[in-house]
Amino acid sequence: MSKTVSALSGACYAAGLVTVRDAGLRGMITLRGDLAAARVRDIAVQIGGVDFPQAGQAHVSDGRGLCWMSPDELLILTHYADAGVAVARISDALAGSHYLAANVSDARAVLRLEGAQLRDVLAKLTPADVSGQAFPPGQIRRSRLAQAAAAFWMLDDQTAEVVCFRSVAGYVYGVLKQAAAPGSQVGYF
Amino acid sequence: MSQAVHREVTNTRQALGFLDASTLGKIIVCGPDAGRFLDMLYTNMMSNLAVGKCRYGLMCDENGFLIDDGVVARLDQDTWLCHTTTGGADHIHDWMEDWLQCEWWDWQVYTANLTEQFAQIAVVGPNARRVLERLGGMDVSADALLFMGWADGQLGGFEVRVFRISFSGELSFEIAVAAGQGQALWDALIGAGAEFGAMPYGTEALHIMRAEKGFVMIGDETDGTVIPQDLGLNWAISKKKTDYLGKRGQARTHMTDPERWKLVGLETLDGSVLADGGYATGLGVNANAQRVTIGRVTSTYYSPTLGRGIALGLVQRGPERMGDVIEFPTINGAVVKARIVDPVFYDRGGEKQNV
Repeated sequence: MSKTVSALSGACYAAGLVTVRDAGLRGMITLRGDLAAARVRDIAVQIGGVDFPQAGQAHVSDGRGLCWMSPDELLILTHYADAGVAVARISDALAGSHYLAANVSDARAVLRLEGAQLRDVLAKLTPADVSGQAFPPGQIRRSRLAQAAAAFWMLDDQTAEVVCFRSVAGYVYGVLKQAAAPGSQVGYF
Repeated sequence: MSQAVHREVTNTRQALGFLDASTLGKIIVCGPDAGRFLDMLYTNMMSNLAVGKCRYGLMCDENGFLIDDGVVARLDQDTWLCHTTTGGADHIHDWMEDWLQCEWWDWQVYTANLTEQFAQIAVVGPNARRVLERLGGMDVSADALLFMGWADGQLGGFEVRVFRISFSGELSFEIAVAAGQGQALWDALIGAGAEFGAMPYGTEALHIMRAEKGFVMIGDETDGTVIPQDLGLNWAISKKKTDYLGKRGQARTHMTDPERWKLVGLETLDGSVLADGGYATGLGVNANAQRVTIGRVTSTYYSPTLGRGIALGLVQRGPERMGDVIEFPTINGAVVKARIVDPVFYDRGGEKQNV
């Protein structure tokens, strides 16, 4: 295999209201199954390395984590190189039960937003309520950024991560840069 | 532009062509009820597809109209991979979830849209196997990887899944690789393919080659009013199944009317290329005092392989009228005459893809 590069090849925009950067390669696994089942929760927690999330939550720490995507779907985050092994571990753990585990690491791009105005920048592009009250760190939204599907969560009050499909990574990076353009402060939040 | 397209077609048919087929939809469907679910979605049987094999399938809406087509591969006992049209990837995934969540909520089936996880490269032409053997790593011989089979393995050090399927009529392999490796695999193929006369080709060349073979394209031969039976695809409609989406619609009187416009090939008498979307005229006028029409062109190209214009079209009682000459008036008042022929213009026996 060749050295894998992320869709944005390390791009970074630091001249705007927030810094928009390629967060690099990330291991991602779509896991569909019974999220109430102990077997499912146990293997998810082992791979994600965080507490199991409630509905609407994303627990992410040091590039690993668990994101609640729907009543029967999790997004498990791990290191890129570990995703294949993680799928095999899930398959072993859940053998004989009804589930779906798929490595989707290459299907996506991850971007990181840093800066005090990131809620304003996100709000220009998404219909989701990203106020501090509705969207504190630990919450996830599956929504849109301008014309593209995207999911995002806050790591802390000044840092967010955005996941989008690989084919629209350049587009999402571009609209985030535009929304963060110098002089376009909104000051709403 | 047209010279480039014709060069790509000819080179692929005579030597070797590479197509970036990454945009085709790739939806995983798995679970104890996945086979039963796919039997409802496709007009043909998918539950009895053997592990390791591929099958072409058609999807219709509840009224019977074609909405998508593609090759389905069975990955293991409970898992199928459904290829969809490029534009259908999201729509068909939503369609599957709609039926699973609203209608068959008690069926044990999960789906996931893996379209963007994989790059997919079609390696096509009489030298296709040679270039894969040059990369090396897995057995892609005619005995090991049969037509309409797939296999996991390595090629040139890349982890790949190879589907032996053909939309061109030539010997053809579609190679799926993790999207982040797509460019590297493409570069490796270009490098290894040089000695075999490799040349990339694009979707226009793809369209010409599929038309030469009489393969339909969703959105060209279909427009939301066309059922599989109109396209002579009865072979892909299961007679055994008690039900599938569209079955009841296709039994309605308008759908079984012998006067329906059906798929044929069209060859202009002068070898010219028919106008796209052109209508064939009949005798007299209709209730709106408009000239009666008896058919229309759905796909039309200059075929570099045959050295003449070829077209596919839907014609009233078309398959019963082989050899008849019908007329296509043009905007400037001239009339182009075309003969109704079989829609397969090239390699009717399918020998080229089966080597």
